[in-house]
Amino acid sequence: MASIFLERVWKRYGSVEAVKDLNLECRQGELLALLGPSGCGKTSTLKMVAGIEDVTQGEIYFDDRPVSRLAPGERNIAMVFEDYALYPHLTVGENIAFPLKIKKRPAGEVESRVRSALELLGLQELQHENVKFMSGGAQQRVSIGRALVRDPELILFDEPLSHLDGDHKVQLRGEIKRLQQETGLTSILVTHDQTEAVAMSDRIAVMNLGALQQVASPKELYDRPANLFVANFIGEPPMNLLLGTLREESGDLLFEGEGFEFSFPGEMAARIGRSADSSRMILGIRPEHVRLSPQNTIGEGLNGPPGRIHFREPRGDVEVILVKIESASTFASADDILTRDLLTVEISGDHELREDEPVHCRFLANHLHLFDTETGRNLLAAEPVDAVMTGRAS
Amino acid sequence: MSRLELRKIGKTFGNVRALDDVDLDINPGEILGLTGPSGAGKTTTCRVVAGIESPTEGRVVIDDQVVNDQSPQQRGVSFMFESYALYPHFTVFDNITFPLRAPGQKGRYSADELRRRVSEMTNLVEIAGLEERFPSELSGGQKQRVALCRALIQEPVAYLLDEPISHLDAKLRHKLRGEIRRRQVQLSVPTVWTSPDALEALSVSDRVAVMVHGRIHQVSSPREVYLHPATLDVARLVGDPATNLLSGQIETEGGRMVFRHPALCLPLEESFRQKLQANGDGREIILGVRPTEIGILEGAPAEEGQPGEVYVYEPFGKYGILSVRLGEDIIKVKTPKQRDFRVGEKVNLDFGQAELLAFDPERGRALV
Repeated sequence: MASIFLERVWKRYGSVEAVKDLNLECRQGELLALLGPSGCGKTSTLKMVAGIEDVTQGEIYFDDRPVSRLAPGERNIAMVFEDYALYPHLTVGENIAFPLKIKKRPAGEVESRVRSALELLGLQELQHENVKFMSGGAQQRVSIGRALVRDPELILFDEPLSHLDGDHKVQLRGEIKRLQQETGLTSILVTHDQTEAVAMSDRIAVMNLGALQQVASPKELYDRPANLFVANFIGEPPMNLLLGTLREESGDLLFEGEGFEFSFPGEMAARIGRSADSSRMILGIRPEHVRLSPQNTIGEGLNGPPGRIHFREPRGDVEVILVKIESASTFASADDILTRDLLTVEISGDHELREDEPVHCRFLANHLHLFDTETGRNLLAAEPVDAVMTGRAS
Repeated sequence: MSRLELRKIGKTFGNVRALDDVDLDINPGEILGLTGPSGAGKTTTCRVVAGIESPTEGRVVIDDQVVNDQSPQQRGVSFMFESYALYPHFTVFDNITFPLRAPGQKGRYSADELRRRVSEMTNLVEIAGLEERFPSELSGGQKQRVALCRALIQEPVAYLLDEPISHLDAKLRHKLRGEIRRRQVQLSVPTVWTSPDALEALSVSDRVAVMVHGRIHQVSSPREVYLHPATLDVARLVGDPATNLLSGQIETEGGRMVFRHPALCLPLEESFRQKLQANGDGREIILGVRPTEIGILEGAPAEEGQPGEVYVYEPFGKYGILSVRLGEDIIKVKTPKQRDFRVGEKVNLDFGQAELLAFDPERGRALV
């Protein structure tokens, strides 16, 4: 078992910077996900750890050992690929035994290690089956067995679930996580699917355009995204992102959005640490942190924009509601992550709201995020506050 | 105003029974969500309605007229193919307007009118500006939206949308569900919307029909399908995660009726027993419990709950999915608790708040 440490690692392909100055640690026994859209540098990073790609600049350590000059075979790493990469003419047992046979391990050892890998993965009954005729999920389990049987120091999963359909994906996702926790193997998972990363990982490194955006536990990423990219990438339905400006009025710091404004309580204003300089800001609020009430009720703290119920989408235990913001100019935005005229709200349990009914929105203040449009940084990503915003719907 | 009716439709391909005794009524302005696993017969149903396949038995009725003998053109149904079926040598604009320029429609729409309608559609699905491109210059998601525009731009007697938004990203899918639904329910013709994703069917439909192996298992409101699945197959398809299903017996223990499973013994309400018409003599049932209705007791004495062992825990942002081993079964619990659970950890489950479901193990029908 080892920990992995990447120190100021760069990967360049000609003039293309695929990975930029990456500092990242994968702790011993941890499952760390590299998550991001295609082209974010996650696969290049994985390949450098595996030794399949050279490190352009920087160093990779396994514990204290620099490994960037070691050949893949000298690193004692196992890899699981998205397309399984099994030998189609061999049985399940033969595929799993293959790495040991190559190393000419004694027959007794091969047999006992293959047996324990089969048991761990629940493949005992399939040992003599030909892999060619098995489902994708079963084939991927075989390839995990083949990775584990070598007793590697660490295991790298490269999009292991991307070729599986819904149910098999969910099932194997849980099995890999369970196996990783049982064996305590230090593991890196590369995926573009945020659900997968959140479900499986101890920590997630979110990458975009070659640069690390944030590395944290799934909960931390969800509750306190460091920047706009992470905020938009993690969560389904995605966070509402509303454009506006900061303004000061009789000593209060106000956010002025389209058709609504509210003032931050003093503590929050202090945390934002920004005076009102009319700079463009983006207010972030997750769908489950918006409350709706009929527009004819006069309530305290109605601090969001007024709107109309546009669409109710029942999802069984919850309902996702699109609220059409009345005052919103449907401005053409180059940035399509921004909420334009439709606010997404998630409600659990029954409610009486009907389509086209006018409603008021209330944002739960201690779940708000405020992003700087220039840097994308979340100015409220520090500790949450228990404060109620003094809001006025305009 | 037109209604769409399917009367005892059967379809056999060779020795494969693709559709069996399919009965459906879809009202003007209604969206019927047709869901089921792949191979269930959803697409075949659409093809039979459109007139591309003839049913082996039964009648397709549009507006009180049996249309079995009519060609697809005569029926005037708008069918969006799951495979898009775009004309590669036509631009996006020409693909979308193709049905409006068909021989029977000649001269019905002026050039200005065509442009206005196309622009309305391409704006709706966010592909405005691509009108002059060819299909080969589009991504898969863009092609799907062109096919959707071509289906929606028509003024047919019924719309058949076969997995209309399956290849779009989550955000756009979510928006289009709303936009398309709002549009369709204002029309005076029926819409069939198929999706293998039961949640999508639930979210866009007035009523949902669940199809498995060519047979309709249930037709009811989205809420009813979620709360009271009519068969085991429906229960397996609906919900995220789907309803937990456990095999066991109804027995009497200490004067009380219980559900006994190798790793679980649940006391049953008298009303539940009556509905089951079980007297506690060991009747076999399959019990259904929704993942959201199982609680986790923290710090309570063990005898107050049902013990289980953590199989795996997946911490999503707003909730976590805890898989718990109960004997040979693994059940899923959707919990708002945001602490970490480790593999092998003992947990105490609370079934006290659950509205239990029961199914006949042989026939798979709901018992309560």
